[in-house]
Amino acid sequence: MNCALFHDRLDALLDGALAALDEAEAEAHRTTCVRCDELYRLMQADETPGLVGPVAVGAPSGLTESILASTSGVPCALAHARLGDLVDEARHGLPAVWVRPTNHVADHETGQETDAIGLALVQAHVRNCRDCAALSRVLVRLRDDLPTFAELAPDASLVQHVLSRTIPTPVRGASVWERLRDAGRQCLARPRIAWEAGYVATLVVWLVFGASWSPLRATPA
Amino acid sequence: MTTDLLVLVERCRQGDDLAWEQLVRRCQGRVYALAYHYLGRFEDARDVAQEVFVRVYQQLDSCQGDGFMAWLLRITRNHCIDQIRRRKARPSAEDLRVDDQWTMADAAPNPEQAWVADSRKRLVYDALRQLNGQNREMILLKDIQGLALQEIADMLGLPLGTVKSRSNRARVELAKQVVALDPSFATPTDRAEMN
Repeated sequence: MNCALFHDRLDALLDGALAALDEAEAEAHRTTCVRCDELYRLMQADETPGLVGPVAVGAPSGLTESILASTSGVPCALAHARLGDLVDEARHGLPAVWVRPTNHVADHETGQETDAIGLALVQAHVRNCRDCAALSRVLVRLRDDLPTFAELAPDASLVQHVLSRTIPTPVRGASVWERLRDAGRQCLARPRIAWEAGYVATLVVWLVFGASWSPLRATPA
Repeated sequence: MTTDLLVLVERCRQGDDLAWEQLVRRCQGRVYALAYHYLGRFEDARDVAQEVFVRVYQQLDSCQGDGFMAWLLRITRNHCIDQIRRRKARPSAEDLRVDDQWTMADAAPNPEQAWVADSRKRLVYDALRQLNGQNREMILLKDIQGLALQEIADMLGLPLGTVKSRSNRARVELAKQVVALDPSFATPTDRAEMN
């Protein structure tokens, strides 16, 4: 038996499918040919139970995190800095950015170019980071909730007070006394009337009893 | 700024007092809310809102074009800051316990606090109070009042990029505070999913 014939019959030899005479010839060649014997042993080893072949094996969970921890660190802080942009872009709807990122797109608010690929990377991080995904969900909710704080209804008298202080409305034909009374009411309605009255009272007391020209200054207590 | 607000402002400039009344009615809620968020007390917010509108009435001619709302909110902010400075200079007994205002307010519900009764809004507001002044102000101006980044940059005298990064940071800080107060706020729902 020559080497070529041995190679042809090698699979059958390993499977034990050769006839007794052919198997004896193959074994005899193996004892005389070092290379064919080595090939036989390698092929036999491949079929040994316990050795694995090239099957698909998924990366173990946490491998990425451990690699990142020993290299660049987990980039959550970087993602946080752009989570707001991501939420804003999601509101405006830019699916093309995520499907086929272009280098830059215009920011909806500033009109400046924004790094679309960078946003896509942030989105990819969010998909794989539980903490950042939770934060982004909260940001989406806050985006909807916060504008509801924009207005708060004051009591109805606020408008009346503002109008009374801004629009002078003298009543035609009103007497001097009525005008003085209205002016007095408006004065009393001032929010800091107590402070102002206190200040004026202090000034009057000083003028009467404290000023150098006052005849009451020297009055014994 | 909507067109009708522009029209109102223009008519106010021409001396139309009816337009002024409508302008006050239209904008009082936002001024009052912003003042309340800065000051934390309804009484002070009301006083500031009055002062703001009086100032606006006097200076309406100096408002530039369609930036009325930003201009109005800027005046409100400045009044609030003045008020806070006065408080620090002369704290009253009430000022010393300003954090208790929420407890006191809750004990006597009134129409002004309708949104406070909503537990979700209450949660967000509590989280808002945990933020530092800079982050809270960004949330107030950008996310609550809806001012544009450029308007905020002009108001605060900061570069646009700085305002944008501060805004993002403030939102994330607020989200963290919300989750810290109530982790269930971050649970997935169909509405909250972006993708």
